Amino acid sequence: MSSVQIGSSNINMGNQGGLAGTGQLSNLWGGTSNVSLNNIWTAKVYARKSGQSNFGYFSNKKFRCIRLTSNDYGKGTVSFTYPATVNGGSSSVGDDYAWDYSVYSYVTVTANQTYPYVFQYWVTISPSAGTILSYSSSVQLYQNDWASNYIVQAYFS
Amino acid sequence: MALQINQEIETLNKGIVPTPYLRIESYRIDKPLGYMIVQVALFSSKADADTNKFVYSEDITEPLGRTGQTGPIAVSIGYNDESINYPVLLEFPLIVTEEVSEDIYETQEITNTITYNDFDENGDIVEKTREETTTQRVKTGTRTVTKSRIDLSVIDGDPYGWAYTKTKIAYEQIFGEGNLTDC
Repeated sequence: MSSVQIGSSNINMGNQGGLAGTGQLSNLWGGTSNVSLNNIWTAKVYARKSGQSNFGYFSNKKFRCIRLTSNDYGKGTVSFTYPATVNGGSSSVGDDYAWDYSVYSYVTVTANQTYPYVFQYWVTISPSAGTILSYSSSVQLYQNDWASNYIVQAYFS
Repeated sequence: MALQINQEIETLNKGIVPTPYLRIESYRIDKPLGYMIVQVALFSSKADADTNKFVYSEDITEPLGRTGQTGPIAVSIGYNDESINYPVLLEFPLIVTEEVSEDIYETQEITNTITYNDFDENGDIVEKTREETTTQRVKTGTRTVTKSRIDLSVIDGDPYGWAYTKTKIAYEQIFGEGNLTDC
């Protein structure tokens, strides 16, 4: 799981130009097409305040991303069940979601086994593979469980 | 301090739950915007809720030590033959309404007579006038409007009790008045 940050190069506000340039100040704002947010914001798991949000809302926010996978989607699927219900279906889930852990202290991930197969455990895939997280199909994950790109897998057999 | 909902719900991850247990997981007071933001979670019972918390901070770092932590009831639930998402995040404004007087302004055209110096055909200074029309924003009166003043003191020194009262009212709108009990 990784921190999602808006870096200085991710928002293009236009080029101020040199001292001899023209329209220097107008170049600072290049129009709405020069400012965009990654798709991650289109599907979100963060607190939405009342009314219209602006860039200031994202100040001091702390976002994490997590991808849930299954070792075999024919044997079982994976879902988030809290603070939002997001089902992966026959593929992984989580890439399009950001979790604001300044608001939500945990997320719950759930493995859904397909008969006659049985859920075995949740295991980390990245950044370090092979750590068993839980033998419970539904488990809470906290922000301190990871520090970088985080991928966990539900193992069914 | 929690709330019990005396209404049966159908859940994705905990089966049929006859009396869901509603617990506030976090409180946040946004002072500049004047909101209390409350995060809640539903559990199948108090015992279920009790397993989903920590006694010692050190325990948080060990996932395998979270025995019995199966998480809250999944947000999508069935209630009264309908599929709904129970609200996880509630925002309560910390405000008091009050009547305030507000100035009314209008934009008006105003004509001013400007005096200036000029020269006549002999080169002598003469005083002349011209009229100049400008627009100005002019106060034309006052009106009384109702405004919401941000007032953190409405919590009355008890953010926890205040939040539960507000949460109870919010959830009664979903599950019906009188169907929630304090516990």
